[in-house]
Amino acid sequence: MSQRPRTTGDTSAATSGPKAQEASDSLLIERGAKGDGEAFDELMRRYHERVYSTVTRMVRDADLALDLTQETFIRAWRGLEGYQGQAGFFTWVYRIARNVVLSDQRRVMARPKVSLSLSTAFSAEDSSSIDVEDKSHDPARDALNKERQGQLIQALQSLISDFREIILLRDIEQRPYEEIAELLEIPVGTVRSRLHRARLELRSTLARISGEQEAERS
Amino acid sequence: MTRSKCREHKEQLGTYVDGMLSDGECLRLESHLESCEDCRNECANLRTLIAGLAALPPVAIPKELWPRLESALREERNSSQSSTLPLTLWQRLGRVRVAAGILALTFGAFVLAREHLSNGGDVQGVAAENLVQHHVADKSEAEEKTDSSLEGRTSVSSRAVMTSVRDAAHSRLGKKAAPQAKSARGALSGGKGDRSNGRLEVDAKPVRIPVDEHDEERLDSRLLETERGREKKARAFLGKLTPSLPIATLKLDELAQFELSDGRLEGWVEALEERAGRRYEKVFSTRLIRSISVPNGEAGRGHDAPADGGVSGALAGAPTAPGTPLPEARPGSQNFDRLKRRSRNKGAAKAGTPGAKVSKSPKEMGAKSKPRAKKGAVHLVRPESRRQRPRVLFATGGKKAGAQIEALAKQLKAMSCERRPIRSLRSSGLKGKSKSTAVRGEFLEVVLAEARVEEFLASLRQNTGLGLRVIATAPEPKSSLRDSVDPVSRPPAKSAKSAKDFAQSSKVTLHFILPY
Repeated sequence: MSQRPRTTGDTSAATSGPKAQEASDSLLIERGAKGDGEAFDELMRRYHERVYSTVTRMVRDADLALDLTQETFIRAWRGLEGYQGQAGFFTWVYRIARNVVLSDQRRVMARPKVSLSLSTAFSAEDSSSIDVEDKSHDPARDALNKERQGQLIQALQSLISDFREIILLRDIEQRPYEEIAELLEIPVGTVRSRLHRARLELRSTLARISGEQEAERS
Repeated sequence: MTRSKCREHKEQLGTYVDGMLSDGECLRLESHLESCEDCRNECANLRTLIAGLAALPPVAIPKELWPRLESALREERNSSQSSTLPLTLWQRLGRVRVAAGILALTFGAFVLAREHLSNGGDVQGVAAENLVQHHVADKSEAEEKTDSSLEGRTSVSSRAVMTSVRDAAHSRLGKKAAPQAKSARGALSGGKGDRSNGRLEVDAKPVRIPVDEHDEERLDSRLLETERGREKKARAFLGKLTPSLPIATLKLDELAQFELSDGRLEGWVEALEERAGRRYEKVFSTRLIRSISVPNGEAGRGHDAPADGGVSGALAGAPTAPGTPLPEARPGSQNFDRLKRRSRNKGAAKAGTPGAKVSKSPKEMGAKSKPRAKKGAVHLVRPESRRQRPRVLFATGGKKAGAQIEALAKQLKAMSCERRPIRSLRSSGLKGKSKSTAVRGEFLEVVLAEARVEEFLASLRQNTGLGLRVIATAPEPKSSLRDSVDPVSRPPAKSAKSAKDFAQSSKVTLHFILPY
């Protein structure tokens, strides 16, 4: 875990409930907008891991995620004066991070994608075999689970960004629909429908990947 | 159960698994699931998939994340602090002095204008007054930019104002004045203008604001950032104009920036022309960069010396006389918004309205510039009206052109044309990575009679083997130089009209960039 420098000031609310934290965020934002670097540091300290995790899951590249997280907070610092306070600080930073990631992805769009072909028997029909909850210490089973996780990650990565993002937010980060709607600036109904389509797509992609791996093995 | 009913329920499965269905919907779906095995399997598969996703290992937070963020933010703050430094007493005084100086200049110009008018209606004074009024209208911007004052004496010229502005901006940034500003100050101290090299008479001296060492450090980093921004913008602009040319060298010192509205730009140029006693060519402009260049060989002015310009002047149409400002609209400014609106109004540009005359976008120009420039291309930008001078911009191909470029360089050098080295620049990569490129090159300038341009280019083509191409962007297709001079694809087929045009014009400046 990264080191966490403590800053003085009204940061004690960081460990309180969400509302208290939100209020505390507002104070810090206000101070940060006036040029108080310490206040912004505290905000960053609160959210940098979440932002980094989100960005890492979006780009699947730790080094790149570091760069993009840094870029996100630099942009947040620059734009802090323009922060209206209509959304929570994390929501605001998330949107910045999303834009940063999308910009980066557009930049590397021309790069050819490499299609990996792994070989593991796994299909949508057999999706019950994603038994990652199994905590037994059977090495063979662990290896299988790991492989299936790899397939899942691979399938996730091959989704279009909208689908990948909504699955990340809902199924991995377990965020409620309302928060997802706020983060993505879409209605809750759209969250539902997009999530449904994204999951279908993920399943079919997973089936395709496992089919390819099966074929390769045989 | 019908298939459509199943589909409807399957669409709800995700929401059901997430526990987000309403009670009524939930009951309906559950009753359906009891009776439909297919949907039950689907639901089970979905649960498994979601469970698998939820069980994916969490992202490991690297140890260097926080220190890196912290240091990046610290750097960012340090670099931006220069723009938000609290004003020192001297700086506060400086602002007052700016206002006072501008008022004095305005008054002086007004008195002069009245005198001139009463003595026979000399328009120069009026122009100067207009100029000052334009400037005064921008004085709040100027104050922000300079935090300095201008000590006006009796008269003022655009050059004086602009040089002062730029010089003071340099002072504010804690950087020594650019060479151009120095030379301009030389002209200032001379009192009388030196029209042979584009300098104007000035009677105002810029006042520099001293900054302490600590400030200077921070301000230097700010300046660096500003220069990078300029470079990026200029590169983007040049990239649009000359898409296939390796133009990567700019003399940033010459990219003096200034904000003027469209209307003011016209008035400003006119005032400048009147004051300078010569014509300034408005070569082209873009949404972001507006440019004015000083043509060579001004007819009737006895001014055939090469313009004292640089690469940016040559290519971006930036001021070729040192210190002549490059008006610019920055995003977020009123001017920018206005220009943005204007750029949408292409009809106005096509109609040749006064505003459109200087708001031709590179895209529009590029549309007429078919075929696109290849390596070793000549860009010939026609004047937008007959009274203006034509101008030729020339750039060689990239390093890969190798021997051909060398031959070209050799021939050019043999012509004893004026040569100036281009200072190398570094462009920093994104996100603080150390990816950087340095480009070096040499800038050469050749002044030719316009009628000899084609002959000269033909000679170059023959001796170097480069497929040189002249691209014209004349607003009048019939007299377009592209039609008359397209050496690569077909022999020149000059119409009588265009030949006459050629003959009537006097000098053309060819700018060469030789990368090395």
